[in-house]
Amino acid sequence: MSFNVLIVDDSAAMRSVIKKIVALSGFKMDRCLEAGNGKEALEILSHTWVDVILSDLNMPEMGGMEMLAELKRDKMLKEIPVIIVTTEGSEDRKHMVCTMGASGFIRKPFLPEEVRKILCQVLGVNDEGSYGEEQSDNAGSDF
Amino acid sequence: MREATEKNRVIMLEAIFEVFEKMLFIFLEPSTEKISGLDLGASISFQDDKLQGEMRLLFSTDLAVHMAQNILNPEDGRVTEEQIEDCVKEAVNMVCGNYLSKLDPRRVFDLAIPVFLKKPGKTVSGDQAFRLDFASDDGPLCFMMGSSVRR
Repeated sequence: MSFNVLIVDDSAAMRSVIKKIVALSGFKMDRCLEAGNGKEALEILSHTWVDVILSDLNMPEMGGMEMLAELKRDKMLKEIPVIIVTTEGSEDRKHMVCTMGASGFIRKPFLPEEVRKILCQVLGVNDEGSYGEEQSDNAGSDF
Repeated sequence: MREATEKNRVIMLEAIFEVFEKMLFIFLEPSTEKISGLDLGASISFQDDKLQGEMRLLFSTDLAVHMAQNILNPEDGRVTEEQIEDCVKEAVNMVCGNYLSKLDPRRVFDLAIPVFLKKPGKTVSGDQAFRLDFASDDGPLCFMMGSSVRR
């Protein structure tokens, strides 16, 4: 089983780094879509279904928190898990994104196995990419 | 200018190595000599209610190009100036965020938008200052940080 992933970051370099690390992790990606901010992400989501979103917080036009709020207001899109990927690692920040409805939080820098673990957790799949065991296993979750 | 404490230096080294190895695929060796050949860089300012400061990462052109190639994997191997600038700014952003969260994960710092430095200066101001020099297969790197307690 493979998944559509949307990476949202205003830096093309960072989108490329994240894409590379997800690929290195062995996580099965079908399509990897990219957006430069929350507004672009919402535009993509208006016509393309993705399974999970990896998003930065601070971006021009529409940041990660604002995008998350928009997603939560939408009946369909609110189901898509959002993992916040950021350099800001304070406990307060983690708590804030958690209460806003993010499904996970990864602090940069991160290893391929860390991103794979959290992707599998939020998608409720086991390490082989099929639905099952991982759904009830919260070990390693930042929340 | 007071020299940084050993504890801060260790945290800083850890923050730099983590970012460069995990995210940028570059392996650095600390250098005891002050290096030259630093052509470009990026700077970022940070502050909370107690501390304010600035970090800089300075690169040789070869190292910056190699880093951008590592990140972007262009088919023809070429990277534009804009792409190099983006990569250098992201590098300083990640190092700064990583250092500050290691310093104290309970504190919330405001990080400014990173600024690209075409002709980087070789000093930073502050009550406390670091300079760490590194060598790599693709050229030198220098890290500088100046910080002051907010009054």
